[in-house]
Formats: sequence, C-alpha cells, structure tokens
Amino acid sequence: MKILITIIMLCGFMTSPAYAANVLPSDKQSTLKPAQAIDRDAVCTRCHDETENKPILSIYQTAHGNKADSRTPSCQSCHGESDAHIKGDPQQKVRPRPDVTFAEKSQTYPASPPEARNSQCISCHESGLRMHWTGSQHQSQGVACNSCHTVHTPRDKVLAKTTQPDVCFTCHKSQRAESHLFSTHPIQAGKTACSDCHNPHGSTGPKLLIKNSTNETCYTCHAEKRGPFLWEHSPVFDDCTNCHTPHGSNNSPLLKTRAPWLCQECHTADHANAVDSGANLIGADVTTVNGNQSAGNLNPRAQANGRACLSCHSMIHGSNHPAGAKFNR
Amino acid sequence: MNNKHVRFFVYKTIALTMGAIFSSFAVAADKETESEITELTKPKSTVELGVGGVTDTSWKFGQYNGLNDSGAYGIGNFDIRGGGAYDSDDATRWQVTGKNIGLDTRSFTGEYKNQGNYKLNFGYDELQVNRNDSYQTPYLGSGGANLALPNDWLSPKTANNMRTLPLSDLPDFHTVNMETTRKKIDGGFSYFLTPEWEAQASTRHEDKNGLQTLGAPIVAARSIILPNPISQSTDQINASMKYTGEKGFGQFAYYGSLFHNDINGVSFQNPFFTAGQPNFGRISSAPDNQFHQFNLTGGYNFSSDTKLVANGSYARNWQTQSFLPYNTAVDGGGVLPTSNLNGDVETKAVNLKLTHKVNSDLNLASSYKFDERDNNTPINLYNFADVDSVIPAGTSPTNYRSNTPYSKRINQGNLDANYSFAKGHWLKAGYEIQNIDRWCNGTWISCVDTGTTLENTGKIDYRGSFLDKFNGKLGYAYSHRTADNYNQDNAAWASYPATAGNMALYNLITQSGLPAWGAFSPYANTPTALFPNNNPATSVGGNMANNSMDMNGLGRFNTSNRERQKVHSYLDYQVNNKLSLGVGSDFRYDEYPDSSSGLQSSRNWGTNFDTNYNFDEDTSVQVFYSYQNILSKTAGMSYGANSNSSTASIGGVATPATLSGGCVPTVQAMNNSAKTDPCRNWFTNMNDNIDTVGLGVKHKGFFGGKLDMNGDFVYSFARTLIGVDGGSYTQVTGQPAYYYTRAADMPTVKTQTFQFKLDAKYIINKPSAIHLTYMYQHLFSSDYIYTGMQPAGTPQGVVPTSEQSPTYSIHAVGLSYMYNF
Repeated sequence: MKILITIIMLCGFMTSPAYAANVLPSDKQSTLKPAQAIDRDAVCTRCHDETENKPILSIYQTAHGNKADSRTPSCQSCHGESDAHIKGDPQQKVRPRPDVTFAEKSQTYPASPPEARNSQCISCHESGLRMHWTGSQHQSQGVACNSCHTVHTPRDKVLAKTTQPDVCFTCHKSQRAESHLFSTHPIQAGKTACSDCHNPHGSTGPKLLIKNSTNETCYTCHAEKRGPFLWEHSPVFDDCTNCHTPHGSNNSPLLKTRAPWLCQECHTADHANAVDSGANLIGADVTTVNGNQSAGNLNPRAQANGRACLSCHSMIHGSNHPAGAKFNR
Repeated sequence: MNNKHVRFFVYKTIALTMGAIFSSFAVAADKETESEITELTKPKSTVELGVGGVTDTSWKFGQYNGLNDSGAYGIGNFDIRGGGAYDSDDATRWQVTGKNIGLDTRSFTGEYKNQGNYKLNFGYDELQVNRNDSYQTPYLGSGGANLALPNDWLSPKTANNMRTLPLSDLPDFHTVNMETTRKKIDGGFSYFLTPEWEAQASTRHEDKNGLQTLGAPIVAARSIILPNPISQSTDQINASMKYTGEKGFGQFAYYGSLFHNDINGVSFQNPFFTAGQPNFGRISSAPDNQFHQFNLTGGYNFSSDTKLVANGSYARNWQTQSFLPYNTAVDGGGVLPTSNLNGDVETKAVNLKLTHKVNSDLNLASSYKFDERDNNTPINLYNFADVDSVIPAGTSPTNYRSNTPYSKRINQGNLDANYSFAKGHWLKAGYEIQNIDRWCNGTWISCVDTGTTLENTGKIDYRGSFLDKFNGKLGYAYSHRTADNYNQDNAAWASYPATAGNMALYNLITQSGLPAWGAFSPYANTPTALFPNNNPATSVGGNMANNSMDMNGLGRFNTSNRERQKVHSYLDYQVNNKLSLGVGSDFRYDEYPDSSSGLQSSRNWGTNFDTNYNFDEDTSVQVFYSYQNILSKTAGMSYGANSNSSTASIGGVATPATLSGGCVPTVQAMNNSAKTDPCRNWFTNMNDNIDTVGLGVKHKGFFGGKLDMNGDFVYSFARTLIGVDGGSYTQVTGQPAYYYTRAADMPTVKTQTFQFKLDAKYIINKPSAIHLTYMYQHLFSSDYIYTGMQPAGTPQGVVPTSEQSPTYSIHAVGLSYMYNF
C-alpha cells in the first residue's frame, strides 16, 4: 500500500509544470502553431461564424478547440475535406453537403450514416473508455457518438451528472419511468449518473456495465457486500440482479419482487413452506375461522408482515458471524 | 454570411504590412467583431447565490436532495473556468465547480490541465440519504454498538408476546432519525509520457456514517428492528498505463478497493427476556475486505475492417476480520474452529472480441467471455446455538454447519451478423451460448443445485428507416437453459457434517427420489432407522430432521431449467420538422417448465408513448406516457404435518388429529399423501402496475429575450397487488378440531407521486440573471413494510417501530442571483 502511495505521489510530482517543462519529450511540442490551426479552420469559419444560430465557434471553449494542443482537430478533421462544399456549385441554391455531416434533424444536410460519423471520432478516441466500442450494443444498433454528445458546446449534457440521465432516457424510456418509483438510486436527484454503472461505449461486462460483472460493478459503491463472508448466500455472489432491479421499484429496497415471495422463489423448507397470507395485516382481511377466531390468532403472520423474512434473516447478503449460517447474526 | 471571424485575422496581417495608420483603423472597425468572437470562444464562468425554502419536513421528499427539513436553506453553485485563450500557445485549462453548497448534497470538483501533457483533478461529494424519520425504538445508545433498554423496561406480560407489553414500557419508545451520509473525496492525474503513452492514477476515499434499520432476532421467531450504527470507509485506487498507436491500443491497469468497518457487531438487550433466555444478543456487521485487480487490455486493427480487442483480468479478494464469539454467553458459546475466515477469492476474466466488416452491407462480430470467481476460502465446521439461545449446562449446541464457499465460472460465446439488405434497413442475427459452472472447493457433496447450466440464445433484429420519416426496430430473442442433474437439497446438505448417517440419508434420498422430509406410501419400505416415525433421522447437524429440506420439484430460478422470450420494438415518426411521435414496447417472459415449486414464471412488459413538438427554436413541448406490468407467479406446498407418532402436530402444537374444512380429514391421511394436502398448496400472483405520465414545456425569450422558462410535470402511480391462493389449518381455543382457513390477499402497496418543477431565468443584463426554481411534490404511499409495524399491529414476536408510510405535499422555492463572466 505504501509503495502504491509512493508511486502515486511520485507521479503527482511528475505532472508538475516544472517537471513538464524540463522533461517532456520534444515530440510533444506542437508542430502546428495555434494561429496556423485557426487559419486552417478559417476555410470553414469564414462562413460558419459567430452569426450562426447554433454557435459553431463555441467549440473553441472545448477541448476540441484548444489549439495549443497539437492533437486538436480542425473542422475538416471531423467533417472531412469537403471540397465540393467549400467550392460550391453555382448551379444549385444550396452548396453540396460536406463530406461528413452530424446534425440528425437537419433538413438541409441529412446526417451521414452513424458509421461514417463514428469513424471520425473513433479515429482519435479508440482507446480508454472506447476500447470496446466496436461490436458493442450501441455501435451495432446504429447509435452515433453525436446521438448523445454535443461537440460544439462547452457544456455537453451527457457529461454532466445532473443532465446525463435525460440524454439516456431519450431512448431508455422504461428506465425513465422506473426512476420515479418509490425505491430508486438517486438518479432524479442528480447524485447517481447512468455512467456510474454503465459504460455506453462498450464494456467487458453484461449490460454495458463498467466492470467485468454485475457484482463487481455494484461493489464499487457497496463494498461492504463483497465479502467473502463466512456464510455466503448463493444468489448474492451469483448476481445482485437475482433479487434487485437497479433503476427503480415499488418494493424497497430496489427489489424485483417483495419478500417473503422473493425468498420463496427459492426456499420451501421449514417455515418457508407455508402459505404467507395477508390475513390480519393492517389494511387486509381478518380471519374468522367459522366465526370462532380467538383474539390471539388475530395476529399477522411474521413472515408476511413488515420486512417479512428480513425481520430476522437481515444479513441476507452474507454473514461473518460464526452462528450466522441462517443469515440472522 | 459575414466573414468577421476571418477578417479579424486578415486585418491583423494587413495592419502589420500597411503600417500603423491603417492598422489602427482596422482594429477599431473590428472591435465589435472581436467582442462577439470572444463571447463565443472564451470559457464562461458562473456564480450563483441565493436562498430557498421548504414548506414541510419529510424524509422521503428529501431522501436524496438535501431538502428533508422545512425552513430556509442557502443556494450556492459555481462553475469557474479559465486558462489560455484558444488561439494562444497556452494549452492550460482549469475549472472549479461547486454544486448545492448550502445543502447536505454538496459537491465540489476541480481540474487543472495542460491539454496533451497532463491533468490534475480533485472532487468532494456529499450525500445524505434520509431513510426514515418515524422509526421508534426503546433502546438507549442509538448510534453506538451497545444497545441497552431503559432500567424500567418490563418484559411482555405473556412470554414472548409483544402485544402484551406493559403500558409502562410505551413511553420508552422514542423517535430516532434513520439517515446515513456518504462523503467522498477523490483526486487523480493523467500524464502523457509521449504522445502515445499516458499514465493515469486516481484515488477515492469514501466515508459512510449514520444509522439504518436492521432486523435482529433473539430466541426463536422473536425479532427487533434495531437502529444499526454505520461507520464504514472505502478506499479505491485506479492506476493505468495506456498506449495508443496507429494500429492499436493497449492498457495495463490496477484497481484496488479496500473496505473498512469500524463496527464489527452490535450488541442489544433482549426486550422479551424471561427465564431461560439470553439477556443480550449480538449481530455481526460487514467485515473489512480488500479487492485488488490487474487488467490488461489490447486492441489491434488488422485493417480498417478487421479489429481484435482482448482483455484479461486477475483479482484477489480477501477477508480476515476476527470472528465474534458464537454468542453473548460468558464462555462465548464454545470454541471456534478458527479465529477468522481467512477468506480468499480469486477472480479471473478473459474477453476476446473480433469484428470484421465484410463489405459495406455486412458486419460480423464474434466474442468469447470467460469469468471465474474461484473461492479458496478454507472450510470449517461450526457448532453453534441459534440466535444467542442459552445452551443448557452439560449440552452442546444443536447446529453443526460447515461454510460453503461458492465458486462460479462463465464461458460464453457470441456470434452476430448485421446485414443491410437495402439502404437503411438492417437485419441482425445472433447466437449466444453460455455455460455456467458452479461449485464449492472442498465440500463433501456438491453445494449447488446444479453444477452446470447451459443456455442457448437465438436473436433476430430488424432495424430500419424508411420514407425519411420513420425509424423503427423489432427484435426477438429466445433462450433455452438447461440445468444438469438438478438437486434442490444439495446446498443445505453440503453444509451439514459428512457423518455416516448424513451420507446414508443423502444417498438414499438422492437415489430413490424421496422427498427429503420423509417417506410416504409409495416408499413404505423406506428403512425405518433413517425415517423414525416417518421423519428423517436426526443426526449430527440436528436440523436435517423434520422440515429443513426443500421439496421435490423446487427450481431455484437462477439455476433451473428456463425458457425465455424477449421482444423489443420501437417506431419513431418524424411527422415534420416540428412534430415527432414515438412508440415503443418491451416484453420479457420467463417460464420455468420443470419447477412445480418456487418461481413458476415472470413477465415484464411495458410500453411507452412520446411526442415532441418544437414550435420554433425557442419553444418546445414534450409529452410521454409509460405503462409497465411486472408479474411473478410463485407456488409452494405446505408439508408441516409430518409424523405418524401419537404426538402428531400441525405447526408444532399438540393437536387432535381431526381436520375440518380442508381436503383431508386427519393428520394421518395427510401423512399418507406424501405429507401434503392439496388445500395447503399455495399460489401467489404478484402484480406491479405502473403508470407514468410526463409533460415538459420549454420556452426561451419571454419579455424580449430576457426570460427563459422550463416546466416539468410528472405523475407516477404504482400498485403492487399480491393475490394469495391456498390456506392453512388454525386451531381455535376450545374447539375440537383444526379449521381450514383460506389465505387472504395482501394489502395493496400504492405509491402515487405528483411532481411539478418550474425553472425560470430572467436576464437582467449580460452578466446578471435572476434564477427562480419552484417544485411542488405530493406523495401518497401505503406500504405494510411501515404500516405493519404499529403497536398491537405487529406479529406477537416483533417489537413495533411505529413507522409510517410516507405521505406529503411539499412546496420548495429557490431564488438566486447568477453572475456570468
């Protein structure tokens, strides 16, 4: 641990400007001066200037407009050389379309196919979070990078925790409805973003989860449930979603179904074999037994009332108590 | 269009060559242009300060948003950005943000980077989760790990019956707020060693503190909902070295997660105490654990059409927290076989994905996934009494159980072909095979119902756009899963000691197909030594007798045979450049054809309608409606009557053997029918119905472009209806027989939410604006998780908590001043 911290500290020092100025290799210096890069953009910005309804030039507030970084693209890096568009066609009212167009609702220049748009982005952004993009669910379903991202704006909605769900809910409408249910993660409150659990660019996990498995993903916030425990509950280590539904539920806490039946989907031994009637619960029917019911029996069934099985078997994610084989210690 | 932007630079050049006179003229002429360009290209910063108020207190309204208390609160948000100009030689950029700084949901971030060289960042995030403000408990010392009852506490007048609690105890119940707070602090950096190589590292420390409820039993079937103290921390570390080249990329990464719990158990006094019972119980808390993982990922582009991505992970997860003693007795309830678990899990994963674009119309993808959790935790035999029960002098506890450290291995292959049969029309066909092995290292028999499940899935999707106005998709998938040699009793049997008696019983039951709870008429010749009085033999481990085994025909839904069908569809219609309509539907149906008990089937389907109307660039309306239905069907058989002896009983109560109103006349008849009674078979239908309606309106530019407004309304109505069929026998005092009583449905669980949000921004002048936010929310909920915990409303063995199902109508208003620069 100490070694790791030392390495991190050392790396932290290496990022200091003083270190960078002296040690950075020469090939990291820009080969194209910012002014030259701006001139190159001027091929486009001589027309697409500050008078555009949708601000084009605001891209210069973003990482894609930082011309001191030699990797920063020009307009034509993404939109293609677009010679025909630049030269124009005197025979036509509207110029020929640029090589690659992105606006999905444009009437003038319909968007290029997703594959053409994505290849422009992936040519620089193939590594890191996008490592598993090719062949991923979104890629194979024709989702384009700009279906979610807005490149020319300094505040991309999908990159902000509070606004990201709105972008995802554009397509994932069941999850939008579930996020308004009684039991949820703090999605509507802006404290949990979709990307806290999912990597929309592709992943090694199921459902585009950020880790190799569902459980590994859940443990990033719920490490107390990771164990290993002395007494393991087999469906827990198997997959958290055996019991939980992460986007919202009417059954707290984020349960797919409600105890005791959630438990009885797998357990029929001992007291789990009996019928769990709603009789005598507050708000339910009262048993009469031919009119002979005694007061003592007007007692709701412990396994049905309140937290049901979890009133006793509360260490259901696993117990480390030597007497906790039944998850009650 | 004007060419002000380019002219600005051109003029600069002209000015240099033509001399000072002309240059001053040119600069003056373009001052306005420069200002407009600067407006667009200079990073914008915002500071917002104000005050807000909430009309009422509700934990549920403020569950995650920090607005749980009525009264005033401060509004504070900022987003300040700076650094070099876009056209300068300075690649430095920095940003600091703060959000909700007047609330318990505040967060701060900071980032400083020299783009293309390095980046530093930090963050702080706080989240108070309000869990309940109506919970009551008689315990003193909430927040600590030792919960004691007041000195004047008296046990129930009738032993173990909380409904007979003396009135003098009631004032001892007091309200304790259930809430937890997470505080995260993180920092990280990335650094380009060369344009191709980038080093990254980040670390996060998170504390979680507070209280949440926890059920804790003491003696048999007596339960208390405790105020469980939470004091935990988690440290996470990420470090990676990334390479990006012309033909491929690679990454070597480390991920570490270290969990620490300050509390390893909570001790609580027994409120039911009577002679022969323990005075205290103790329940454990989650143990400290560590997880360390190394990842290696690489991608190689053989050509622009053929790509391979490979990933391998190796991780170790261990846990060595010292055990608590078996129980709270002075001697600890016996000698532990080991002082800690020495838990050790290895996790390995391999992922390969090869994609190939045959031509512009055909894409192929194949992938392989291997994911293994290999649990090498040593197995020991533990001999304990249940829930701190007192062990009579000279006897041993009745439970003998071994731990069963579960392991799992997934092997999965996928093949997909995506074919465009006409422009804009794609047909995708896919096949997936998934093999899952489950096992425990070192148990005397398999610890799982089935060692192997095999699932084959076929998928076909159509996706297309047509007439320039429609986009749609229709997809169908069918899966068939088979379980190898399913035995529902393995998990329980494997935890019992491997004695000769247990082995004989297991072999007999496995080979004969007998139900584990005993013999019945077709098996009349069952060895009586193993089934005395028609019960399984009581052997070492004790609880193998009577009803502890699961019934034949139980299929645990995550491992049993399953048929799954899924349909996904949507159709979007762009009517014109203003109006769009969309409809979508999802359907999933799981059926467990070989399970006569447990989950029988589940179905989840939903449909969504959306429409957007953009009056113009500044005004739009969005309306949506979603409906979702989730249905689960579960079945079981009660088999509690189980003895041929003269002390035949139901539910453990000595009884006359006569039954009234059921399907069989006597207990004996029930025993002769596999100890079952058709009238005691039960069936449950759980049905969640959810309607959600939304309306959103946006308009920019009221009052000559000075006022922007957004309004959102959402209505959600969820009902959980649980129908229960079946029944049970109930003894009525003074009556000669048990009477059959039909089961009753559960009370409907309802949640109804109205929410209206208004957000208005009035621009005073270029840098200044007034920001008004208003929210009204109404919630009605009825949930017996809470309502079932009232005094005299709980089961006899449960201490009431008086929790209320949350219902509220709350207004929240915020008024703030925004300064932009």
